[in-house]
Amino acid sequence: MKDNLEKFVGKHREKFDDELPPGDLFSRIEQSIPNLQEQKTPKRRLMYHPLAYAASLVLVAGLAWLISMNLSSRNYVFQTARNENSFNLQIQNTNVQTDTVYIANNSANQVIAETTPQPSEDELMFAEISDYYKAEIRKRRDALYNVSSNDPNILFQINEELALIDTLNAHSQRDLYDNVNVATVMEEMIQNYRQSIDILDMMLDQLTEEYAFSKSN
Amino acid sequence: MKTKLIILILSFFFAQEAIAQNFTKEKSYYQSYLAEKYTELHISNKYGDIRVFPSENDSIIFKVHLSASDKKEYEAEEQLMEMDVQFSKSAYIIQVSSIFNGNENNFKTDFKMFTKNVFNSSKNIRIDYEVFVPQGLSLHIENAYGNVVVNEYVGNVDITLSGGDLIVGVLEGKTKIDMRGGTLRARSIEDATILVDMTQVNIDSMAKAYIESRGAQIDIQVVDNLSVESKRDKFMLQRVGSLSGSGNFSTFIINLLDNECVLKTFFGDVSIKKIGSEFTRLSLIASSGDISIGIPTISVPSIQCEIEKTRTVFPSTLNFQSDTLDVKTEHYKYYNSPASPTQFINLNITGGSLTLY
Repeated sequence: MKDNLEKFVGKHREKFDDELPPGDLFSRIEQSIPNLQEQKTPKRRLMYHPLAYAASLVLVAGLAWLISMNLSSRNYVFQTARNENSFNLQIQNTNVQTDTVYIANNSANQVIAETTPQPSEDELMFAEISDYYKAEIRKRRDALYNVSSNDPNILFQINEELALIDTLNAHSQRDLYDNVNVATVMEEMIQNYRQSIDILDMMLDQLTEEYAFSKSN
Repeated sequence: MKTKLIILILSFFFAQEAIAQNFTKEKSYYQSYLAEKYTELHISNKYGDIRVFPSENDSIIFKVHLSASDKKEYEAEEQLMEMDVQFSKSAYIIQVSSIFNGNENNFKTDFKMFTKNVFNSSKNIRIDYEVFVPQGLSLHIENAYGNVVVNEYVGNVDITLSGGDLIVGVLEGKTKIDMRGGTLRARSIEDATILVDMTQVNIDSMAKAYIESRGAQIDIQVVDNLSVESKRDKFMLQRVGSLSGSGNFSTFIINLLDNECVLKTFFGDVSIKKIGSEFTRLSLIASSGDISIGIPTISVPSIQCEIEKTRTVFPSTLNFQSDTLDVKTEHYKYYNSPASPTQFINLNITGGSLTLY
């Protein structure tokens, strides 16, 4: 479409160029903007100056470094606050049997928030991960207790499994004290939680299947 | 103007990248000892691999490589300074340990690391061992958050490992493996005691083994004599000579049972797909599990089976007789009486199901 228009204009150029601008047009334009031209010229010279350009690069790098240092020091403040106030999120409802996990806001954290910078979502991530899995395990424990019909043998197996999960997590938590390779230890811990949940699910499946059959009889 | 703006923005990000770079500091140790006949070797490590190779002479050689990385150069250096390897030798014992003299920052004060760095932590250390050991020594290895690799070894081996994989070639001698998490991959172990917790086990062959496990998946191709103490596991045994032990909420799948099986299970299924010609005895006490057994076809074994509240499927060829022991509890006894039997199957099943085929 556009090409056709261009071709048409090209072909009939002489017909379009039938009028010329008045002779004093440029002088009138020049008279109206003399001061603006004077102001712009030196600025352009500055912008294109190689030294100014290099200086701006250095300035940007410096700003980036300052921002980075500032973020780092803020983390340190938060870290110190953590040391003074033990951070312990608690699950309010221990008998949760739905898919919803309730994570309560601890009142102690409100005190921290008033005196020090509030922890970001990222900073609460570990506590949330840990509490999420603990709540999931608690849900399964309750379900297992319900389905076990108070059979002492089954209760023993469930309690033994829960004790083993605690032991395993205590090992991982102790390793976190090393203060190195946190990501590796955390991944291991999460893996432990997941596998423990799988084990509890497997137990729950077997118990449910067995008791569903006995009830149907 | 637009181009310059883009360049400025890019330079800002490049500057950030340059600031975010990791610094890695390294050091190495080399140490060798003369091995004597009764020398015991103990290696204790964390956050790195231990690789054991056969020594070409009678020397034990250690090559240890330590590295620390951090966003800040001085912290990487500090971290490396706090790491060390301690070598000690007494009469018969050579002990090598990784030492961390780091400050005792507790885990709550370390929240800085749980922020943006949790899964992309820049503060990392590694201590990797290469150990050349002559055959016949007693070898003790303890490692965490790293792998252990032993290609071939003749002698007693004791490995404790958590948060890492164990790769083993051929181990001749008594072997004790204690693992938490990770994967155990072995080609051949002569005499093994294996304690595993949530570990994936994959072994080609074993002559004699005791396995104590929890939440593990255990896949063994051939084992002559296996004793198990199992909790919430899944056993896949391609071929087993003798199997004994107990399982709680564990599943046993046996493709071929050669000789005998004495097993007690509480929840969890047992499936013996095929029984070999040299089979002598199967004694199974099972509660609340699904049991299925492929009966030998060459000769008819003597079968006695007591069931209580159990769903059953029996082939008519077995010519079972039955006694009712208690109608209320659905307690029945099924048995056959073949002439001069050489193979015996005794089953005591409560709940669940029993399928013989």
